[in-house]
Amino acid sequence: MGKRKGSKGEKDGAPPSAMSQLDRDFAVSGLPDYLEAQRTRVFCGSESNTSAKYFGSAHTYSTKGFDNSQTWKEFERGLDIRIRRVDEADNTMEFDLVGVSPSFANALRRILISEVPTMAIEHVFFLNNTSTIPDEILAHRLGLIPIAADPTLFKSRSPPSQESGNEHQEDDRDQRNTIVLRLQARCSGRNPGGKHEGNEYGKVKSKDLKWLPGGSEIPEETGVRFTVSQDTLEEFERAPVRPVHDDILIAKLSSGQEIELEAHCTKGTGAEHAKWSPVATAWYRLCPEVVLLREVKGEKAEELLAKFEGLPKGVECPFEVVGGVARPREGPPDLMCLERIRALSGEEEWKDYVQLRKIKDHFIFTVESSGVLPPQDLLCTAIDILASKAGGLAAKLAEA
Amino acid sequence: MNGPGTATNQVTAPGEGVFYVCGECGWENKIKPGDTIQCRECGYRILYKKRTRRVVQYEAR
Repeated sequence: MGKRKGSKGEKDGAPPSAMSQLDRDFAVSGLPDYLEAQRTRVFCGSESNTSAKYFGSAHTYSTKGFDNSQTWKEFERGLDIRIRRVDEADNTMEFDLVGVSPSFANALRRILISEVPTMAIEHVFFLNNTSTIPDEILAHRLGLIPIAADPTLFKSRSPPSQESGNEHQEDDRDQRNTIVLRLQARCSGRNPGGKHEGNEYGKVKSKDLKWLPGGSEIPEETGVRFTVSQDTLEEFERAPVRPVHDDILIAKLSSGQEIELEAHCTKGTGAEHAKWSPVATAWYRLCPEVVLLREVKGEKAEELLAKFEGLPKGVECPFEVVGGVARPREGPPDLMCLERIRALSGEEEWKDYVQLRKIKDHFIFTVESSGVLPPQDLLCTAIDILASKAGGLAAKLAEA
Repeated sequence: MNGPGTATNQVTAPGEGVFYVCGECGWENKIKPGDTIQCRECGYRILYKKRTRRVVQYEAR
């Protein structure tokens, strides 16, 4: 991003020792250093951040003779995605997204949240429910349970066309677009209403939802007719449909109470209802960067390290002392000590030495999957969706 | 399923009685026409009709 235009950088002739930290960091582009610093960094002050604006316009620096536009080649060269961490147990992934604008990162985030399709319970058919939880509340609770099923194996149910009535719509519910789950639970503790010995309240958990690969057992009422059993498919043999978590509490039953129902999952996206959102959430933050503006050495360096004593276990001090001279450690500082650095950069004694910045085009992205799909798959799907949107836009522009 | 509104698992011929749940102890009482409305287990006089097994559909939203 950013091209040198015209003359060489003014700093070329200056001896390197005369350069300040700011000069060393920003001497690469053709812009004056202070502008280049504002263009690429957010400066974190003790009270507020400055230069938090993103300069996306090609003409921002036209008066300086600097072209702020970006070509496809430059974007391609500057773009970098690096996986930091994949946590299988937590279904979480963290990665660096470098060289993109905030709008790009936000587009990815929004697609992850609301446009990656998944399967979720949409229709609930109650045969019996004598529990204290009303049908509609129970149905809503069921809808929010993440169901582990590969959404690529299913079609979205087509919206009802204009001329066909309700009946036709029900006809096209079959094994290609519906998963049928059955829940049957009964609490048979004796002596209802009396004193209970131990726990006689039946806990209905998500593991009680049983997959019916053969389809609905009450097709007359539900209108879902499978022509082939779903478990004939090889993919389902490998990974049978089940709730992601076995221990989600759905309802509690007292003795004699009973729940019997059929729950039908359909394919959808988070844009329609949050239950289809494949992520618990997806978010990003700007990559922090800690710098020492002046040399900190000897006693002062030790003093600096002492400022970071008592950090939680596993959190590294953002500075290290090598040969009596303090320097920031490689990589972004840990989240746990960011605020300490920020506070330090506001202190009278340290404000000329320590500075906390954020890199404007470097996003640390976290994707926390609900467990329906691994976060890596979600990212790939999200990027595919973004690409197809961009492709659609390109086609529209070509038409115009 | 029989017609809507029938309790399929408890259905009985006319005159054979219907099951009611005691409001006090939860006991299921089979009450025939002419029987006293009273729980056979605890003598409580408030009995409730059972929920039918008619299928009701809800949107999970």
